[in-house]
Amino acid sequence: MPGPLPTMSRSIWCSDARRRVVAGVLAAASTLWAGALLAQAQAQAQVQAPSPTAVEPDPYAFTDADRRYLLPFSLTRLPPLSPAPSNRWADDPGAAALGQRLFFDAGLSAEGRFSCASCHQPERHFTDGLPQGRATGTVRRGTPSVLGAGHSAWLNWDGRADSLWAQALEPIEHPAELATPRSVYVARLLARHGRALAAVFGATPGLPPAEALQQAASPLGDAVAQQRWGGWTAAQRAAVDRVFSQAGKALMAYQRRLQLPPARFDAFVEALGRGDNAAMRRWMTTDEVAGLRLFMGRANCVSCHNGPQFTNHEFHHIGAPEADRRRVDLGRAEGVRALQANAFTCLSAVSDAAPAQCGEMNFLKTEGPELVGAIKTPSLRNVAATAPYMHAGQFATLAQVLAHYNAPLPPFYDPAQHPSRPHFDIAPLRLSDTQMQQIIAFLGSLSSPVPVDDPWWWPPR
Amino acid sequence: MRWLQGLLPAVLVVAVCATAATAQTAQAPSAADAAFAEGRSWLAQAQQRAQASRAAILAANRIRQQINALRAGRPAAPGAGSPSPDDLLRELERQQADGARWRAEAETARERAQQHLAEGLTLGWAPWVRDTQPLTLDTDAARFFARRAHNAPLRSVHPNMPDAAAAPVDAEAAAREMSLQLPMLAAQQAPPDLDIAAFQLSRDQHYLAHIEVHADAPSDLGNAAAVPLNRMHRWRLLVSDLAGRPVAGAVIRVTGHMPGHVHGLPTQPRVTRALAPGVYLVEGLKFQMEGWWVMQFHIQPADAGAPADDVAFNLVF
Repeated sequence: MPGPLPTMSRSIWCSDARRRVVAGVLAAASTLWAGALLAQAQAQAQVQAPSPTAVEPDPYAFTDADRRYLLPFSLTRLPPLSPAPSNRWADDPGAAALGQRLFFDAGLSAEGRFSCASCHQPERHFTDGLPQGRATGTVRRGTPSVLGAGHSAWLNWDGRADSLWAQALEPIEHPAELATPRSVYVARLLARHGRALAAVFGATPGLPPAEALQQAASPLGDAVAQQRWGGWTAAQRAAVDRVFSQAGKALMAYQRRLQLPPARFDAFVEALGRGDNAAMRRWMTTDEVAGLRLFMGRANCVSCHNGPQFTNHEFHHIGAPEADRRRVDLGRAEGVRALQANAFTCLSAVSDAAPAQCGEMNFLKTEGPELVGAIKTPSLRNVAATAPYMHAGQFATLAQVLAHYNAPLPPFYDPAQHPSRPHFDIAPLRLSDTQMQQIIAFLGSLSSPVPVDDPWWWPPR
Repeated sequence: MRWLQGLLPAVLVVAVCATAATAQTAQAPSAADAAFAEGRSWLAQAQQRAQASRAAILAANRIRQQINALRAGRPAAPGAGSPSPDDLLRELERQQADGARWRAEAETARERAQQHLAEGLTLGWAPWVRDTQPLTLDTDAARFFARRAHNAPLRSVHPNMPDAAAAPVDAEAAAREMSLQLPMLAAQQAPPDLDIAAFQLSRDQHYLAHIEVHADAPSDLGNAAAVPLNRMHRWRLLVSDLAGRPVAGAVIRVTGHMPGHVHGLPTQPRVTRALAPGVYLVEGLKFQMEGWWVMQFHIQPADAGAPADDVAFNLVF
């Protein structure tokens, strides 16, 4: 029940009372305002010039609650890979071994020059150091690392593939990447790895004759290739698709085997868990720890970059500048369209899943302003070693990235190109230069050594 | 006029008791029917009180206009007596107090109505209503990260905008004695008195709806009735009219969003089939973070004569 109504002044003509109230309100407001100004000034003073007399808290002093908060970021807490019902061979060792050979085999591509490893270079943590991927031509976006990719429900910057096997197939045919028509790839696959393929997946009957496969035929190719593809029977096309998808499934099985060695940060967190202060000091510097505190706290990086892979695997728009304003990147909105047109999803004929197992595709979100221009949060593992940054290499250095987060411009909006105004997911950080440097220092602790002894990382012997 | 309004609730209660008594003598109703009848009578009371409240507030407005006219030195309306300013003020206060009281009573009556209707649905639809409590989130490791607010409900970064990142610090974290200062973006918290009941009346009060997690079998999860974080799951949506009869064959549209954020659901859930008349299976539900979610169902009944209506559920994870 509501309380009694406030009593009113006996006379509404009593202007004295009204004046008093107004004066009181004004006084209170000015006090508040002054207080706010004072607080702001104090806050600025704290940021700009910490008082020399104040005792700086020990950055290495963490509470039990901090420890509980930080331990789940360790690589040792990486959850097991999710089951992959669309690929029965996802965890098959034979498929993984075959996938490793395919990954590094340039002989499978039309010109014999490019393989997956041309862009996903192991010595660069499976990236290429370029703003935009380059093989037969130059693609629109940068080469993301394949490390840990098996943990994400959606692949590529815009999530245009719903599995690692589906993702692996697009670059094979893409004219700027391997530029190899589906039929040619299948012909070479059978010629170079036919025995291993049959050993893992069994023989695929009903293929067109070998000489027919040598000629470019694909539903995605040029007019001639499409015509040849259309000239085959449905059963022949299905058989080609099946063998083609087996390549993707083997590549997926391979990529699921790639393990990232622990970084200094992981050693630090493990030391923190043990309460080994000396080891903590060995693994991370004072600046790096200060950066860690900012990353988890004031700078709020952790709101998207969380978990052992430092990503939430979701799509966001952080207002990164458009690489090409004449052709804006619609991000997830474009990825959703591509998914709907993708012939190799969980729901496709070559998928091993029952349709009911394809929840993400069955209930795909296809509309919403938050999809426009949204890009998948990348992992920050090895970030310092994998410049340039953003989905099209818009920033060359981490300093530029931090400067963007510190004072971002809202997303570029062109009503002629965007279906709706892009969503904007970040707020200015307003950090000091020192604080930004500390965060960059912290990011350096996320670099893992390249494991020279791990046979999965390198071309098979 | 005023005495009449004062009497209204009393008259109503008598009328309701009379109807209830008649119903009982005519035919012994089931417990569920009785609960629905009780719910409807409370709802009628809520509507009456809401009307009375509106009338009082309108009357108060008229008095306020009279006072303003007096204060401006305009003559009173012809034919009317000239009430003293003090009388007008007293009357204004009375009308305002009555309006506020009846509005509060209307809200209380609506809550009671919803409780009785929920009870009716629970009793009458026993095989389908297994969980009468507000939906909760299942706890697992992923939950830990989902508590982080991940975006700002703003499209401008003008310097005049509040510095969302700087202030307020997670009070909960402070209470847990963390040295890490975890900022939280303001305005993403659910109001403390939010109605999170799993039974809700539709907006125009045509229907009653209930949601609960639909688990196929007792699972190995700690709490099969809880919403799993960031995992696809299913709900049962029950829709009845206010007499407890199922609303069967309706076309239902599902939407959802987070009020503190600018985003909707990560998936596009939909009603896939009816498990029984008025019992709908909603599939493809996924919530990727903690916080305040609103789920809305637009109900278009199969019967062309029946009105369409919307029902909303607040979820706080």
